[in-house]
Amino acid sequence: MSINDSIQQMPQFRVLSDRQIEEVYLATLECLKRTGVEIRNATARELLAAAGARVDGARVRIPPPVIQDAVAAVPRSFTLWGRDGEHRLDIAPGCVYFGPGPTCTYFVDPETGERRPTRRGDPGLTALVCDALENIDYAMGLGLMSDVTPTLAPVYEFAEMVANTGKPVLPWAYSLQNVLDIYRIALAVAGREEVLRQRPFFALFATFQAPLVHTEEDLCNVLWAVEHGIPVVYLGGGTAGATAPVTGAGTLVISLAGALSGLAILQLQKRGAAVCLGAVPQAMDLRTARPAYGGPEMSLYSAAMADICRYLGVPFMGTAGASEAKVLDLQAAIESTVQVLLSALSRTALVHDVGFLDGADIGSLELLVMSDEVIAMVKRIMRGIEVNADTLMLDLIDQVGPGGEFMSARETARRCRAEIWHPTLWDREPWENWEAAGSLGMPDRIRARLREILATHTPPPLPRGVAEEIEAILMEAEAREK
Amino acid sequence: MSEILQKIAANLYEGEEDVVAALTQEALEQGFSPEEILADGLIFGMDRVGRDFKAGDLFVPEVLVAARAMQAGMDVLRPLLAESDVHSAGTYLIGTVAGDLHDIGKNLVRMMLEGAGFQVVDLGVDVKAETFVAAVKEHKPHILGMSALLTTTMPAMKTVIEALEQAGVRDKVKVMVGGAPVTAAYAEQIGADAYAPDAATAVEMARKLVE
Ligand code: B12
Repeated sequence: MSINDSIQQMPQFRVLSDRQIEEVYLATLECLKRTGVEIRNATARELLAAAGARVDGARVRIPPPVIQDAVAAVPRSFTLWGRDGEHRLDIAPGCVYFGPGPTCTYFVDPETGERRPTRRGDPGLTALVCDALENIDYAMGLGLMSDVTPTLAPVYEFAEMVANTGKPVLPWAYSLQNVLDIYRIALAVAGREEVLRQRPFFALFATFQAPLVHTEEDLCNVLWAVEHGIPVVYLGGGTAGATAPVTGAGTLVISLAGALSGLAILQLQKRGAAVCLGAVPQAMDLRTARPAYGGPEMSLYSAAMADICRYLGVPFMGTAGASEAKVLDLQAAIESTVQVLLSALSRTALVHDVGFLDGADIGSLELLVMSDEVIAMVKRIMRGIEVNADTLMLDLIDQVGPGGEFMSARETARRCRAEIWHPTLWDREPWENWEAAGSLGMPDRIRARLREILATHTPPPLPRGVAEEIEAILMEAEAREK
Repeated sequence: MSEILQKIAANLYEGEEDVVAALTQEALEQGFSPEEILADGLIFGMDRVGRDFKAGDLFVPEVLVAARAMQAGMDVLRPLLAESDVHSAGTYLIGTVAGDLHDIGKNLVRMMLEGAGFQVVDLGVDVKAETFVAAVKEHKPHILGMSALLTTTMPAMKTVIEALEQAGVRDKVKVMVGGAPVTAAYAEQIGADAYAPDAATAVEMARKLVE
């Protein structure tokens, strides 16, 4: 959703004041200078050392100018294109886009509704459903396949996803070899390297650890990606009370320090590289010791991170549409909806994890379908209220006068679709009609919609011969693994 | 029970390590025997911590600071107690398997075990099978605990068990496994002795295994 604050009068929402943002940012700079980060990749350490950082074994203490320079260098916006050339995501200030998350161990079987290990085909179905849903803007796999050569799971996943959606895709990778395979698949789809560079249809999703660690594998992957013009989403962040201090402010510092030190490495490798920073700053439930994806802190701290990133001019990825609930129940609906609303209000550029149940353990297409409707509703809220002579309608009010009605007014017919949001899953029928239609509840309607999409939706086809090329790349990868 | 032992138990429950150490010293000066202070002060308090945690009334960090307070009291008593009274609950070797960097759960299991009086040796993350085997030989633990959070790294637990067999030490150590994607069925399938879904259960199982 693209939001233009100056033309429309948007709902205003902020978690942090300018002064608070400044304070968190300065504290983060101090943390990076004083405590530093552990960087388990030699190239990254060398880049930072050359820029003036103090390297002591794997520990790197980064002076503020290096971070400030990276913040100045990173583009404030970049564009991802769907391979169909139609879907265009401007990862830019004021825009908000939603999509699923990666790698859940389990998947809710779309046929039986049961939880089972994720398997081949599931990421493909996820991409297909993303393709069909109007308010889902990009695809991620929502599950980690358990029935392929384990080290190749990210490659199989990407292959399935590009075949099933024309929208942009966010793959992830265990290893550089995975990234190389994914890149070959992308090349097969795009045809030529220039096309991929000019209109990237995927961004590499990678993670850093909290507190204050960058791993060898992830750095290898993202360094290669920026060198090859692939946009990077680099996400991590502290879990309050476990991998970050128990306070919100402390959790922001840990999340921001990880993100900004990563940004510095990437900008030193390739100045101007397209990077979106991400955080999953949830709180730990300290009774069960499980991260509380659906907790209010996740929404609050993510919105605060969005405030800070907007201030710095760096695109930000947050989280929404996720829950601790084990099935699509009331808890799932409430937790995921609050997150969607706050993500939109805080203008989070990319929002991921839509469709997560059980704290990132279960991928649910049903939750994805439900969230599509929630996002539609929230988009209506985000459009705000247009106030001008035209919309105040004083002439019409005068014409109709006291005791009249507006339903038959020409203006109402002309504007009703644009002004008033119309649901497709929520029920608004009179009781009798609802009963006559089978007394269906929301879960029934969600399942029916999902079944319909799976049975009828066809994604834009891959160019001729590309499916075979992808198959060959997978076979080669298999042969290499043996 | 005497007032001072009650105060030790209460302060231990609140995680006041300095106070517990001072009170333990004071109780000794008042003439209580180290054995009495241990049983009716420290262990009495820690048992209440365990009960309330299980009931859901205490949070993990509260348990961890209580365990630290227990240690502070123990540090005062240890030189005075007979060897037989301070024996640890058991030795526990723990690590996250090769290829896996997740350690929040493993660390929590370690801390809870330490709180329960186990002597824990932590090998960290991304621990190779050879390293596990060498450490089993070196530390002769009662239990070896392995953590895996990724489907791709779960098989590494099986590799370690096989390596223990090959090195001829499998029957010298009980093997426990855990981590979000690990299940009891998987534990059985790879020939582990126990599985626990969370840290509190891990402690319970560990106690049973060393009995
Ligand atoms: C935090 C986290 C991370 C952090 C790790 C930080 C750290 N220092 O550990 C970061 C961001 C670095 C990360 C990285 C990755 N992660 Co991760 N991560 C998680 C997350 C959200 C929480 C894990 C956690 O800490 N939980 C809290 C602790 C307390 O719980 P726990 O670990 O389960 O431990 C408890 C029990 O399992 C048990 N236990 C644990 N160990 C042991 C050992 C013994 C002996 C016993 C008895 C019991 C026991 O007791 C513990 C305490 O109660 C999970 C989701 C989830 N729901 O588990 C994903 C998750 C585990 N990650 C996942 C993945 C795929 C990855 C990545 C590949 C990146 C990605 N998503 O693309 C990388 C891999 C890095 C690597 N090589 O290891 C997937 C795994 C899917 C699968 N089946 O393989 C999960 C399930 C989520 C997801 N959808 O992405 N991750």
